[in-house]
Amino acid sequence: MSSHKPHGLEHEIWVPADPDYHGHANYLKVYIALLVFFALTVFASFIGNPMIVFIIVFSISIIKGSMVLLYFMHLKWEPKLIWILLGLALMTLTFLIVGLYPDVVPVTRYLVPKP
Amino acid sequence: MNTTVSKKITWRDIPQARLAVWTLIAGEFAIFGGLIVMYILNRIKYESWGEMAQHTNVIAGTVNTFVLLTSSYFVVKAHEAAVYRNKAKIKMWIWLTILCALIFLGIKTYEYSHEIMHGFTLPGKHLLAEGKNVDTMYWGFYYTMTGLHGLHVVAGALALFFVMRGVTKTGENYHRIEAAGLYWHMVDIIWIFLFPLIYLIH
Repeated sequence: MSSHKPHGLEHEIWVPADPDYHGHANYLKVYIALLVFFALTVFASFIGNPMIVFIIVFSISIIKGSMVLLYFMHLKWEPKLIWILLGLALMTLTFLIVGLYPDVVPVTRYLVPKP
Repeated sequence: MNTTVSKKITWRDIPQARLAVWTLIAGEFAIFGGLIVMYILNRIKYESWGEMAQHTNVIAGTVNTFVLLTSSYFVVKAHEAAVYRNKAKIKMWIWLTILCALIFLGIKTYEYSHEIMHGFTLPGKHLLAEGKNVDTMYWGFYYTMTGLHGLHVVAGALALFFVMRGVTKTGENYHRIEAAGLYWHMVDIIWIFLFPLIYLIH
């Protein structure tokens, strides 16, 4: 265990009381990185083409969401069971997309060319 | 990122409260994920959704995103304070988070009132009667996604308040701060995806 004390807690008790405390990322750095990505998202929206905007901002959202999950929610230090739980949710979502896609977006390709 | 401790626990050691909240979060991701995917597919299908999205208040959405990101930082600091059993800091960080929740809800209420006043309602009768173009399905999705998210903000703020009150009064169950905090982060993650989709892609 490092002897480094978290910022703002220098005068408090030092030994973490929770035996399974995962430690802490530098939360301030993560927060600042999130704000930088947030600013990039807003700037990207000024690009004219909606499809390009969508690809850029959605990719940034995935990065931001992953940062919150990994560092603020400590997923990085959680056992595999939690990863499996979230994986199951994503799998359910994938089935939902594949199942509903033909109903929402009309399929315009034909196996046999239209006469 | 720099970490001070890297102790890994096994699945047998996960506290029940944390496991329960993670299970809830997995379910919530499937629900909101479904809504988001359906929104994207419909957005691709209907050109008019882009026009409708131009009527959302981008500044309000941007401020709200900043508020929620900041609240996520406050909550993780509250968790850190809970680990060190520091009641005063727990109170401070949780109150700041609740303040963020109230700001978020206030801005959202302002947005809703303006949109409803301008006729962007689920039936959209006034605008249709005036011969104006209104895609009511877009606004159906908009109110469902943001409304459901708003309810989660209310639930998260209430959970944080009651957990903080219990912990600071009794000096027990500090782990509940982390559990309620996890829920709050989930609310933040959902907004991270809703914000660009609803407000920025026209």
